[in-house]
Amino acid sequence: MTSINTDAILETLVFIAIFLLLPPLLVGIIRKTKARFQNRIGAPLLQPYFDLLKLLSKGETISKHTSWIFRSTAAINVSLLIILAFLAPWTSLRPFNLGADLFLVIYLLALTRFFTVLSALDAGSAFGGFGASREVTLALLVEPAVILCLAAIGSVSQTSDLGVAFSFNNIALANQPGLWFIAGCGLFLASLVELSRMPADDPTTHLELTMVHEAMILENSAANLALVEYAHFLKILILLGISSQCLLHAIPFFWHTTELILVFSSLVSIMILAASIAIIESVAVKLRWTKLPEFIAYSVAMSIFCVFIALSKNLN
Amino acid sequence: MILDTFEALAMVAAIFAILILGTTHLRTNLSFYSLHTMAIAAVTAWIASITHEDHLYLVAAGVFIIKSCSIPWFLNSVIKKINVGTDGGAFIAAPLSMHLGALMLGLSFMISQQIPGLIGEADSRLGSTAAMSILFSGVLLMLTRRAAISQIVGFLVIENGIYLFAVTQTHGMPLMIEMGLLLEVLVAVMVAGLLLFNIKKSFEHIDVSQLTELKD
Amino acid sequence: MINDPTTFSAANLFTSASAIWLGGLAISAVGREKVKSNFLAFLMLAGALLTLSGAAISWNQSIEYNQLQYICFGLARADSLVDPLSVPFLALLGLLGSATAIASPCHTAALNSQGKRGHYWKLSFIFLIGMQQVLLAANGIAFLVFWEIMSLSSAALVASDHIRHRAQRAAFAYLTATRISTALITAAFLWMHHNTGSWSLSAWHFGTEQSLVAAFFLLFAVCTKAGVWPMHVWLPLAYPEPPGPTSALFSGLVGNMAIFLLMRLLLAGQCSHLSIAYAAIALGTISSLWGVLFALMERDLKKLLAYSTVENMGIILTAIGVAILAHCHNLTAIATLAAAAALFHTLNHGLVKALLFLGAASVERAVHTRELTALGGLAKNMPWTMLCFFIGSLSICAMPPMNCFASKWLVYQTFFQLSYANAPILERAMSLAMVGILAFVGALSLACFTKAVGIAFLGRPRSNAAAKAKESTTNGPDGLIIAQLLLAVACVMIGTSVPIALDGLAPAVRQLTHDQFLVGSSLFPIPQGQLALVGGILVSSIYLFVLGRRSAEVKSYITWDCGFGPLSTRAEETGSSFSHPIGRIFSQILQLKVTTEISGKDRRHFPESVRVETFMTPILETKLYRPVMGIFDWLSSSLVRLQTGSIHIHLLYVFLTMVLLVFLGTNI
Repeated sequence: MTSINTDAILETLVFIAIFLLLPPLLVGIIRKTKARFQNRIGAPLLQPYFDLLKLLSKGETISKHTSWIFRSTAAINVSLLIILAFLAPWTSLRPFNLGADLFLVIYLLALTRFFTVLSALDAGSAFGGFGASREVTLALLVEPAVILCLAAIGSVSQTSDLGVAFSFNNIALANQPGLWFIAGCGLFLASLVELSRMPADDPTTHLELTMVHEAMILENSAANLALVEYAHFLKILILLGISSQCLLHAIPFFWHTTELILVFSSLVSIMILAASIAIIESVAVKLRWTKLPEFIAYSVAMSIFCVFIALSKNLN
Repeated sequence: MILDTFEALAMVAAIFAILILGTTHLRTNLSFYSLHTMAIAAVTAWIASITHEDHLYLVAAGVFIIKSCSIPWFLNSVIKKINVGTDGGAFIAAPLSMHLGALMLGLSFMISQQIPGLIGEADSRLGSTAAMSILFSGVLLMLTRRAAISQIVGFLVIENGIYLFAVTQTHGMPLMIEMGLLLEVLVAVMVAGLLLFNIKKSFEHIDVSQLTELKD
Repeated sequence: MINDPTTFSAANLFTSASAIWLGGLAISAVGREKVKSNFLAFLMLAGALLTLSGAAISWNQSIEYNQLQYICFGLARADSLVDPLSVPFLALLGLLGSATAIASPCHTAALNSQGKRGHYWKLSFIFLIGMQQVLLAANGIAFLVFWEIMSLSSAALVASDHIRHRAQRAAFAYLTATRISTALITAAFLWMHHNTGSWSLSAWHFGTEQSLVAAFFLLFAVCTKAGVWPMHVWLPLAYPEPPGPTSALFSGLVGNMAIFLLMRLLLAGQCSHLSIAYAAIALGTISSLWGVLFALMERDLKKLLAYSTVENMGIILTAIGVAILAHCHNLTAIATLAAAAALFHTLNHGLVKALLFLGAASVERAVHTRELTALGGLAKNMPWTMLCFFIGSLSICAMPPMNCFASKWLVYQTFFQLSYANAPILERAMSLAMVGILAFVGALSLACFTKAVGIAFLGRPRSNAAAKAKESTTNGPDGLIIAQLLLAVACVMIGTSVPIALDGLAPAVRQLTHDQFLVGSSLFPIPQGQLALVGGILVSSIYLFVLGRRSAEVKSYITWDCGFGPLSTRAEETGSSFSHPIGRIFSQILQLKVTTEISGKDRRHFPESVRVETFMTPILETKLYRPVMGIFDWLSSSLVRLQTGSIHIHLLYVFLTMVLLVFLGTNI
């Protein structure tokens, strides 16, 4: 009995360590891959860690027009994403099952967006304002896609608990490579938009008129900025994790292997997806703002396909 | 509902056909079209391996070489020559027509449930679903796009849909007919491409909605 | 009927509440001094608390009484019935009545004429009595009488500021809507009386074939009164007009009364008509999309909230539709879930809407305008209002630790579970599509309410009035602020203890679905309270360990201005530009047009003045209502020709009518 307890405690500690420490490494992988694509050496792989530590030690400047919302958004977002990391099925290493309801996960993400948009409007600057307005427009177009992909998966397994739906013991979803693959593609395309990556938004742009995400966090500095960036990294981890889990479930090999291989491959697949984001960013161009709904429509079409596949199960 | 491999490939072809609708960028349309045709060639090859009809391998190779490689290459060169990058306009916005195409997939599923039972081991409802939805996608493409290239691609997609329907329901038609069809499609597309080049030279545009002087 | 002491005390509590309000009405009608506004508020509060306690006592029981039986309305007496369905609504009435009572004294103190004050108190008391008795009515006649009292008094409240043209139009639109809905309800009641022979509401069973017409009349009546598309056009006109504290009552309860009627008759009456279900789901879906889209484009804070009511009424109506649908297909689990979702969302939404309207009333009192283009930066001067409005917005966008998340989650679950249940495939497809549509509506409402909070309260003030706003009339928080805090605390408490709330609603849901084995708290398995607690601990620990350390080095400076120097407040984001990208996507429905005029000697290279105008034509009003009203106008004006003014013609009319009556009388 005590050995099982220490096992569970050890797994929990490893889990916490992974989700606290992995996100900046993902961003480091993305930046390094982009740099290699551009034929330069680029910053070290661990640079994001150093950047965060540097930001924590800087002096902060806060606009005097802001209210308590601006001051607390960074902390609230990080806490919400930590809670999400415990709930959302972003990895196969799950030492406990905390009942991750599908709608709770989506609405926790929406809550982080609520606070980010309000903090952008708080400083009273024009950049924050239109960044916020673009962010809610993109969220509007992407939400149905994400929720329909996940709802289709949940509908086939007849539960809205994502932990049950994404577990490798679920028989109902065992032989559905088409559903998982299409859902994975749809979720990956939606993550590109939600994480403000190309072709939706260029994360390295310096032109405010082209920013969506960066414009919203312009006013943050020092520790606040460190927390905001870290929250964004965590979001990358969670969204890429969910997409990679969908893609892993599509490969029949992973349904019959040991848990260690599963855990290892889920982490490796997240890193592969991060590298592929970098490749997409190097190859694709940022779309014009008015062309973005077309791009997002592909994600919605994927989710419609998932819905059709889900409806064709349980046919009577 | 467990999918046979060729049913899965047919659905992949149908999905690519729907994705063609989603953009007005002509080269993306052509790349989706060639992926779509490759999936159809794969369906033919798989049916050939199931039913042991060797001539279907030849047909699959023909589809792959002619429809999936040379026709898109030819149309790409035409596009480069007439210097048109995107379709000028669409009567329904591209995302909306893609969603309509996706809904047509559901509709064709319901229609194919009503087809009376077919015999043979290569028959399937999902095959006819995929074929009908490819047909609808081609029709939508022809109905809602203005550039002449999109009309050609739409015609090719419709032709693919009819071909897929025949292949999944009847083990494919005799070799002569298949080869004749392929040749006909190739010649038609080449003629259309040459015509397109001339239209662009005389009218300075390839917008079909402005070519309405069909009557006197 | 059950325990005599309980029956007696509950009946006494409700009757004494009404009596106290009647007394308040009498006092406000005859007295003349200013001092008594506190006393009247106390009376209103006492009545509300008595209603609340009566509801608490009669929980899980069904009590019939007729203490008012000497009041006879001709066809039936004023019998009263407290059943499990009316208990939550009575509790909501008590809570909102208390909030109104607390907020009233400071409102009437600001009114400058005794006439207006008397008008306010009289109408508020009549309104409260009407609503309470509507909830307690046991038969159709009593229901109709008190429904009329409620509608007319609320219409008069809408017309309070009747000098202004805006209030006149609003009152007229509202009166038209209530006339139509009352007419349809009366028709439905007459039909059911003809079918069943009794006036008692609980005797009407809607499962039979003949009740279809009555069910449709009821559905359209409720759609008109609750503000469901396409009969919602009066909502944005009428909801902003009632005076501050009563706007909480108005917005929180008027729509809910209609939904209460629908639930009591159609759901508890076992309606099993599929067409009603489909109609309800279709109307509800269109209404939710339409309402939230127009809310997003609104520039007036209270109209924005009114359109958001349209959206939520749509969601409630779809839940009721699914309940009827599931009942038709004998899917009892889904029917229970749908009924619980509809009921819970009705109550939550009433509470939150009242809170938001009180916040908007507080803003209007401080800044004297409701336009978003003149607000901004109010977080500094009005911290309490901002906190309560923020909590209300979090709640109405269905954000996790709040009460509306739980009710919207239940609505999501009904559609989700319907998608794999034993139903026809078209309905399963519709239910998954509804999950996507609900997510879409949720994202739109997030955009709408971040706009409302962000533009109104955050940033820099866009006008002098906003810069100089003073939150309360006294040195500490005054009545309006305390009322908002009360409702905000209620929201948070319900949100963090949802299983308890659902257990409390279980008797009502059992009555709606006749499912005897329902356990309320099992409907919502998410530990929302614990999650909120964990989140709070995490936030505070982050503050302690990360943010709290270097507070000495924080420099306060202006917002980054790109080096241009001090930017005027006109450089800030406005409400219209915030919602413009979304408006462009839906420009067909909104009829959104932007025209640009550039003038100057050389327009292209050296413009002298640029004029940009944004138009939004309300498509429903112009394409549907105006033609219909035009037809009515034409009909009325052609009927005027009958009235010629000549005595001989009028005598001819009398003689013809006599002949007609004789003819009818002898042949039938």
